[in-house]
Amino acid sequence: MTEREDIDMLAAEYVLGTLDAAERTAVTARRQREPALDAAIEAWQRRMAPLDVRIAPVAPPSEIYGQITARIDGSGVASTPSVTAEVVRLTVLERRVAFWRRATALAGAVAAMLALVIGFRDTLLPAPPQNFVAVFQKDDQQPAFLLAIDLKTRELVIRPVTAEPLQQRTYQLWILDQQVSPVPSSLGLIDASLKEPTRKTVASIDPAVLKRATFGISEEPAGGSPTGRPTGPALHGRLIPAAP
Amino acid sequence: MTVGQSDLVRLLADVANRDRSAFAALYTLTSAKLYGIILRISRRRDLADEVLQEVYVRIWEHAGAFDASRASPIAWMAAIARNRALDEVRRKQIVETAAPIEEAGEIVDPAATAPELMELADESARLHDCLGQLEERRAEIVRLAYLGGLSREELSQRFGAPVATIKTWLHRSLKQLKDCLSA
Repeated sequence: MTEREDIDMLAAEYVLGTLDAAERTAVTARRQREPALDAAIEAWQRRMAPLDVRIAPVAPPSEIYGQITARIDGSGVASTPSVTAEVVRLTVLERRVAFWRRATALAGAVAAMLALVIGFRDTLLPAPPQNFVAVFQKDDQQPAFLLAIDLKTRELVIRPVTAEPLQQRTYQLWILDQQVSPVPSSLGLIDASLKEPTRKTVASIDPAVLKRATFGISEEPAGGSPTGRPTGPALHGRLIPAAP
Repeated sequence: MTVGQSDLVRLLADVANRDRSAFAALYTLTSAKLYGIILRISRRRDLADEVLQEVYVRIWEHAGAFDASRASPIAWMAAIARNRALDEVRRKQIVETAAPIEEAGEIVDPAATAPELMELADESARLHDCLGQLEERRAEIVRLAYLGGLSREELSQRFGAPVATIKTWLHRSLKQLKDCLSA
C-alpha cells in the first residue's frame, strides 16, 4: 500500500469511527500538522455525512443549554434546576398561555397568541440570569423568530429564522403583562425585509415587567395593527432555557 | 419553509462575532440533531449530555473557523459531535450493550428526514446506491460502524470474524465506496 493510500484509509477509519483510542489520539494530533491527512478526513466526512440524515433527532435535556452558557461564561459552575423549578416553570407557562388566549380573545384576535420569556428561575436559583430567549413557532414547526432579551441593557433582538417576508403586510411585536394592562401593547414593527435582526431598546419598561411579561408576534396590515391590538394570525412561542 | 443551510451559515457567522442570541438560535435549531448522533455513538445519556455541552462550547469557540466552501454547517457541526463522542467512547472503552443503543437516536427512514438536512437528499441517495453495490454484509459493517459507533472488536464479535479480517473488509468496502462515489 502506498503512503497516500495509508493516509486515506486512516482518514476513512477515523471518520467511520473504527479506530481505537490511541489511534484516534494520534490522528487528532497528526491532522494539525499534516494538511494531506486533514484534507482526507474532510473528504471522508463529506462522503459519509449523508448517513447522518438517518439518525433521528432527540431533544436534549432542557438544562443543558444553561450549562453550556455557564461554561462559556467561564463560571465553571453549571446551574442545576431542581425538579421543583421545572414544575413551577411548566405551571406558570400554562397559566400564562391560558391568560394570553383569554386576553387575545377579548381583544378580538383571530388566533391565540402565546409566548414566553419568564424570569422565575431567578427566584429559585442563586445567580439571577440577565439573558432570556423566547422562541416563536408556527404550528409547532421550525422556529419562525427568536427573541433575546438582555435585562441589563433592556435590549431586545428579534431574529427571523424561518419567517418569510410578507406581501404588503408586516410583523408586529407585542408585550402582555397582566399587572400593567389586560390587553397586549405594541412594541413596534419588525423590519419587514427580515434580512437583519430587529433591535429595540425598551428603556421605558421595568426589567421586572420584562421578565414576567409574555411576548407575541402577529401578522398585521402594512404600517401595523389599525386597532392597536393584534388582529392577524399570531405566532406561538415555546420557552427554552435562559442563559444564566 | 424549513431551516436551510443559508440560515445556519448566517447564524454561524454571527456566533463567530460572539452574538449570544445567534448562539441560542443555533442551539435551538441543531441540538436535537447533534444529540441524536451523540446518543447513538455514546450509548449513555450521562455521557451524551457531557459531550453535547463540550460540542457546543467548541462550536462557540471555533465558529470563526467554519468555512462554507468546505462543508455544510450541519455537516461541520455533526463532524464535531461525532468526533467528540467517538473520542469519549473509545477512551472509556464503553462496549456495545444490547439495550441502550436501540433506546434513542434510532435510525429513521431517509424519507422521514430532518428538515434541516433535506438539502442533502441527493447525496444521500447516491451514498445509499453505492452502499447497495457493496456485498450486503460489508455494507452492513460500514453502516453499523458509522451509525452505531461499533469498534472493530465489536464488529468482530457481531460478525464472528477475526479483527484483522474485519479491518480488511472495512478497507475494501471503503475503497469500493470511494470509487463508486467519485464515479
